[in-house]
Amino acid sequence: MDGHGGYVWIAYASTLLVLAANFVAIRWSTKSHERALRWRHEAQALNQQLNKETAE
Amino acid sequence: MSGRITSSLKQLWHKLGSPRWFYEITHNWVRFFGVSALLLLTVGFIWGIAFAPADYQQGNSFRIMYVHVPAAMVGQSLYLGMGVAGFVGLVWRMKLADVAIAATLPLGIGLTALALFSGSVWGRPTWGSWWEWDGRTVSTLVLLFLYLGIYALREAIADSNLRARAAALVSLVGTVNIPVIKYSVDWWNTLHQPASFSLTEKPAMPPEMWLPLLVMALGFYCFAAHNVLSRMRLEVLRREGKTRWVNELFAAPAASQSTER
Repeated sequence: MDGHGGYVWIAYASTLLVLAANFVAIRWSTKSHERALRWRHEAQALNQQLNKETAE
Repeated sequence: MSGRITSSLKQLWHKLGSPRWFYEITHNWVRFFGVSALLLLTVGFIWGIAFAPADYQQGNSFRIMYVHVPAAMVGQSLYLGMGVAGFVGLVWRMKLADVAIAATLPLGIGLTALALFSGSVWGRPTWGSWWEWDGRTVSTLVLLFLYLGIYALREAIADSNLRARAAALVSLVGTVNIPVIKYSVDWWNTLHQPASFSLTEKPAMPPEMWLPLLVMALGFYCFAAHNVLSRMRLEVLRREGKTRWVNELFAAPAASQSTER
């Protein structure tokens, strides 16, 4: 790259880093939030079931 | 015909007020933009770095253009989108407008910082300097400060209505900076080259140089659409977490395991 390789690779690597970081961050946050919502509903369902059983 | 278009647009406008409708309709859009971004960026990266010819003056350092220009373009477009969302939020008090501003900020900050950084890396072999206090670089730095300012403002205000209004107002006022960035190369003497793309003029570069740039720009726009829509969907889930439709959406797997139903 006639002496410019370092500059070109730094620019491309930083671009990949920014895009990958944004992609991973949103994917991870979404998955963990969806998991938390599912757990909450499972816990609610179990709670309701237990309450019903103790009432019986 | 025009009446039908107007009524469809009106319908869409009303539907946009519903976070549930937005969450459901964007499910396939996110997938489409994600796949398109992956394909376009892969082709653009390889084309720009390995197959585009070197510039007769700048040599291979000009290849930085394939990441610098799309990052700057999308960084500015995202801010413009925030300005529009700010206007909609202030005038119509639409819930999704603040969601859009909150979802755009992280990527906007990332891409504007990337545009400044890659510009600096490109400036070293081309201008002989990492930084020049010229119109384009300074107005882009102002854009980054605007993004960071709105982010800090949102973090600092606890009341959600006040936070939404303050962020909308600053987003709207800050759009003044976008034409300054665009025309800075015409208004002031600058080292920065003029716009690489124009809607009205033929590019000064040959097609084998501007085609990879076009592919990269489209790839960046698709990535931005994927990222902002994904963040908006997450923000909708966070805000609507206790509503019935979210309960139904996430209760389904639990319900199927439960012996009650």
